[in-house]
Amino acid sequence: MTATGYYAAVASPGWVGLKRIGAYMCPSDTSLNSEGMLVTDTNANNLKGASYAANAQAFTKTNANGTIADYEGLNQISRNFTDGTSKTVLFAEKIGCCVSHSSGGTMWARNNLQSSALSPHFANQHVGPTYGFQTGLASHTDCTQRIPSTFHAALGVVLADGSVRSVASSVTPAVWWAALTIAGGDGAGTEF
Amino acid sequence: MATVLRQVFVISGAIFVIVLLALGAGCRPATMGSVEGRVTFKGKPLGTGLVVFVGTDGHATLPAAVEPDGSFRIPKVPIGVMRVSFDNPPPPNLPAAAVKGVSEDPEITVLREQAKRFVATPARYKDPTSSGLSFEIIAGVNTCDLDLQ
Repeated sequence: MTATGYYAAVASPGWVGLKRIGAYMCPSDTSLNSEGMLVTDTNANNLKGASYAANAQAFTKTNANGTIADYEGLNQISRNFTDGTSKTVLFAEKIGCCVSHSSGGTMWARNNLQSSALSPHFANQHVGPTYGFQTGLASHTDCTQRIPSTFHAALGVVLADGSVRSVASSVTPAVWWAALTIAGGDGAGTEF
Repeated sequence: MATVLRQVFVISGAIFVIVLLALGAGCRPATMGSVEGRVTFKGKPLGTGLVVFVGTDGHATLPAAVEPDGSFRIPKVPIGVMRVSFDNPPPPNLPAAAVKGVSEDPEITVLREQAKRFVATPARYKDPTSSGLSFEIIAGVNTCDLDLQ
């Protein structure tokens, strides 16, 4: 039996989750080291990190209040994204190591606990119009877990129409939530 | 000589402006405070959940996790009257316990402990407009105990 990391459900020397994927790492994300490991992590057999995460509201099946009903969402943009695509977020920045590797961050292949604070998605546990995002981090130790986060002054996001933009820190949690839901009947409006 | 005098005048002016800016910054009123407190449900401390303070303009603090002893702390909260949200989602489904002799995922171990502490609370406390919880933040350290019923 090969050595396994704590955060690897299926760990073997060739398993893909143990690979560093540079495209998933933002160059300014100092919470990941050059090997792709979360900076507080010393176990090379643990999963590697990412700087970006998916909006769980877009990729899962949710209840009316935003809680996850089924992680296998099977959503289709043409059928399920009734709020439109130009102001609906698919992906956002979420730093690789949020405080410590044992408490939060983003492991790109974390698969044995979908509700994890280390999984590559957000808006899965902290759902609703009171949860925003965090910008301008000075250190990974200032990070708040389970919400999008960045060292930049504004948050980079990918929208459902394929465009990329920065979201200012002045955007309120209610407007942000409207941009996360795909069928809330609550288009994010001009504030977004 | 005239050049030297002009340089002295420019440098003196620059120092004067810097001093004025420094004094101005010192006189500026504080816009933030911090808040700490304890969350109880029917008089007993809660050991799970998240506290968020929401301003009348819709801006909100970052969520603060409730510690095992019921305490929470938010280091930066805008001064003024804030509504309070308390979100206490049920624990997630966790994988079966680790096989004896095999180290368990540390995060799952933490979540198992949180699940043991979990006590369901009324859902109305999540919405700050219906929670009935509000608090005026002033400069400095504020103490806000939340007693849920």
